[in-house]
Amino acid sequence: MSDEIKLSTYSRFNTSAGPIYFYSLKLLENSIGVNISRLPVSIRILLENVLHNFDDRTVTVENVQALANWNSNKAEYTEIPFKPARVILQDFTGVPCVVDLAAMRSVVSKMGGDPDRINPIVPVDLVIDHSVQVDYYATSEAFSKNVEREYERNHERYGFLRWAQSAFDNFRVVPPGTGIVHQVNLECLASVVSSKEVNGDTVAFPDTLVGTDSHTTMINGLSVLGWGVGGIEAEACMLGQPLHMLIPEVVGFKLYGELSHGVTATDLVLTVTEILRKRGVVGKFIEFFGRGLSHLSLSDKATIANMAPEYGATMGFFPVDIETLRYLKMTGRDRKQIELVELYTKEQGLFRTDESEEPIFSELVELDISTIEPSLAGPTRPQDRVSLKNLKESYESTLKDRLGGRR
Amino acid sequence: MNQHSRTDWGEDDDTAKTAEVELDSGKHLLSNGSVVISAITSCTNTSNPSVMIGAGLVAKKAVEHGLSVSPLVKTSLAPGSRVVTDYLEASGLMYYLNKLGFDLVGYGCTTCIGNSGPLPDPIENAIKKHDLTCAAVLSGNRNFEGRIHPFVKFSYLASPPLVVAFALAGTVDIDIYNEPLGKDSDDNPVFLKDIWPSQEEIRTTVEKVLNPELFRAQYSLVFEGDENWSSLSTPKGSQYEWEKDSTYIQEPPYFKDFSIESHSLSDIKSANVLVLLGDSVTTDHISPAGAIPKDGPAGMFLIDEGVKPSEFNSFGSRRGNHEVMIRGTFANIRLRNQLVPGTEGGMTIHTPTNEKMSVFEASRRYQSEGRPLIVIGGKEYGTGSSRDWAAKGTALLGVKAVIAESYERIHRSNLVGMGVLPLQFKHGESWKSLSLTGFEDYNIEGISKELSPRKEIMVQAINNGGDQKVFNVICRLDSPIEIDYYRNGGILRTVLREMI
Repeated sequence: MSDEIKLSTYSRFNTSAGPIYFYSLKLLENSIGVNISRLPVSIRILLENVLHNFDDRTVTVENVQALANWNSNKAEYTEIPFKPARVILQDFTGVPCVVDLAAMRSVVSKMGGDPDRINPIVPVDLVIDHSVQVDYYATSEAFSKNVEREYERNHERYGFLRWAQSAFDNFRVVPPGTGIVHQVNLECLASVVSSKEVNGDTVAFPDTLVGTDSHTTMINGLSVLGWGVGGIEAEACMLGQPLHMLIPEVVGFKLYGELSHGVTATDLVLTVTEILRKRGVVGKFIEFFGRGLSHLSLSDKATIANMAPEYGATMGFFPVDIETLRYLKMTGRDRKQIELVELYTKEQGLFRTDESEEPIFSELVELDISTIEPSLAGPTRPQDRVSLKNLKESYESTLKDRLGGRR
Repeated sequence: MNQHSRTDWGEDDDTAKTAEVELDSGKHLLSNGSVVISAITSCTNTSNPSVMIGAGLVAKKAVEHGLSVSPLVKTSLAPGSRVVTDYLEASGLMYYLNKLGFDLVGYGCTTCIGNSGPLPDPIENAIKKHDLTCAAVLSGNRNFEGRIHPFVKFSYLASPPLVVAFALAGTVDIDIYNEPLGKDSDDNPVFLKDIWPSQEEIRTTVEKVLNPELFRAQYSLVFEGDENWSSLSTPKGSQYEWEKDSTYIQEPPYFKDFSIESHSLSDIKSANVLVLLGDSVTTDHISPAGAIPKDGPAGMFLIDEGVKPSEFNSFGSRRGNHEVMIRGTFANIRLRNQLVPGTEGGMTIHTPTNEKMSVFEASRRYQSEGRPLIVIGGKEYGTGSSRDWAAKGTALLGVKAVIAESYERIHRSNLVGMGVLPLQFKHGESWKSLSLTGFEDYNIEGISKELSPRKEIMVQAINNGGDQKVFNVICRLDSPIEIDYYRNGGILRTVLREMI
């Protein structure tokens, strides 16, 4: 097999900034004769990833075929190579990854080679968010004093990361006291659709990533495919190796209705967590669909996507829709970038409207959002939702059980 | 003082326990159910302007009604982005949050990942002394016991406006729809409904204060950092100057005797078992994440390096120093090593001498004797979170292969990534069914020639009486690429050879 599969799907569309090239899922459908258009959006994005990374070596025609033939009726035990477009790290899990890169430079240099050749191959962003502790509080000086303590405790690690930031290509550090990795990713780093120059063409593809933190899934709310992985897998991805994963089942989660007065997205996510934990969705993708999505803000969706590890899923994915574009505008993203997101996703059939044909999923869950009530979850597990009106009762009986058990 | 009704369970009932706590502000009553941590925290919620503005509006109305938060409550506001404080300031709501003690404490994970910091001593002491079940209410995403704070047994996840409401209530033992949160200056009860904002109020405030300029202004500087950051002493140059005396960052030995050519594969001869394990050993058993015990090998190493136990920090923060991490591997006290049944984790037997010692010490001893090591496990080996140090630590202890009944997917792939061979007992077989004790000498053949994915490999176990058992296992290198990784001694070495 040659590059046939890439050549036959290479296509273009025009934007105000000029032509954009891409690997077309519609053309792939024609070329291999498989109906792709009703696959879950998340599977189609994985398929695009495999297609545009096809090299006949690490990514093969069989991999493309396997995903295109994704079957809602049976669990697949086929592995595919996923090559995320970028990697995000936080400081706890990220430091050892960077230490390993630095060690690679040292050994290359000892062997008489050029250490500058060792760099991440895909872009990496590390956000320092895990080290700050709440030593001072309820005073106007709390922030500056906590930062001071944080630097006292962590200056060795921070000095190292600052060195890495200047030494490596494709490696950026968001300093302490700026934000939390997933929120910075949501509000700034994620492109939704990326592009790069290849042989003079601007080629667009969906933004995808892995991160060394389980709540990496928050970015699924912005329609970016990605989840948390271990440090070794993240290092492999940083160095251009694919992540080998089983083709997942996809649970379609239909939302309808809208939140009642006084009810928040937090109440909604705690309810979703309760429902999905009971059902058992470990190792599966969740993909949200239905008209209820049109009544949720992007931030609401990000809250729901964030807690995928708590409901046990690999992802909690939302497709691009009009609200995605609004959020990109509101967060000050570049106008041309927003145009690219809109045109690319529409061209690829990935843009959701209330009229979109429903994908075919492995299984279905439904929820009327208007039934959600103010809630908490606890006292020791995130899936143990307690309705606010029942809290006193729930607290008292849990406490009684505890004390009873101790006697 | 106690404005909330409590269920009467009789005089001897522990559930209604109360203790007096003396703080700078005076004496206060701490009870079961008292809220001692109230944290607006976590990307889960601080990314959502509706709930953040909602929390601000609850604070505003509470202050206007003359409510306040008890000094027993540790209040904090830690957003995941600087934009949040900008729009809270712009809306004027920050003032009210501060009034209730929700001052900015940082931009980071804080309470959500357990970085909640200590509680005031009198509170911690009272909780310990009276065994009180106090509560945290936080807008985070996880609440496993002990995660939020070691002394706080109950943690409730809730939206930011509810976090503020429970700070005002000061307890989770409350029917918050029907009992008042407190009293206003005229001694009238104030209820949740009196301070809960309408959807319309939230929406108009959000629309008024959020705009693209806010985000552009903050994020144009996102890689800049403050003075603390820019004034850090930072080494220059394309190579890192490893500091010998750093206890946080050390050059890892993965590339010791690295050569451009990969070595030819060889069989594993005369290996000893480092640890013999049962079912469902988690990555946290293999490489614990939390506090570093003083009397374990990692703690003793740090003390030798001149680090005081109070400055140990956690295993998490020391993942850049393999010397600490190797010593922590298989050292979790909950690990049950069947070579030394009845002992807590971290201990093993050095087979040749039959001496009991720490896993780390045994590993050193075996390595100095030139003996390769293996680990034998049961079902679902390496389950739990995909902690890379579980595989790194295993490799650095000198373990060449693991034989288990089944593997958690990611840990198996991490072992391959570190050049450790995952082998699997044939279906229905286990170390128990084969009557292995773990004190045998092991020869593993079939690696050096024609290694292929899922190949059957022969293992020979010879006990000290000279009796031998022979059984086949499945090589869990599952793809040609994994064979390649293994041949190279792991992913890092593979990639390095490609890059040179």
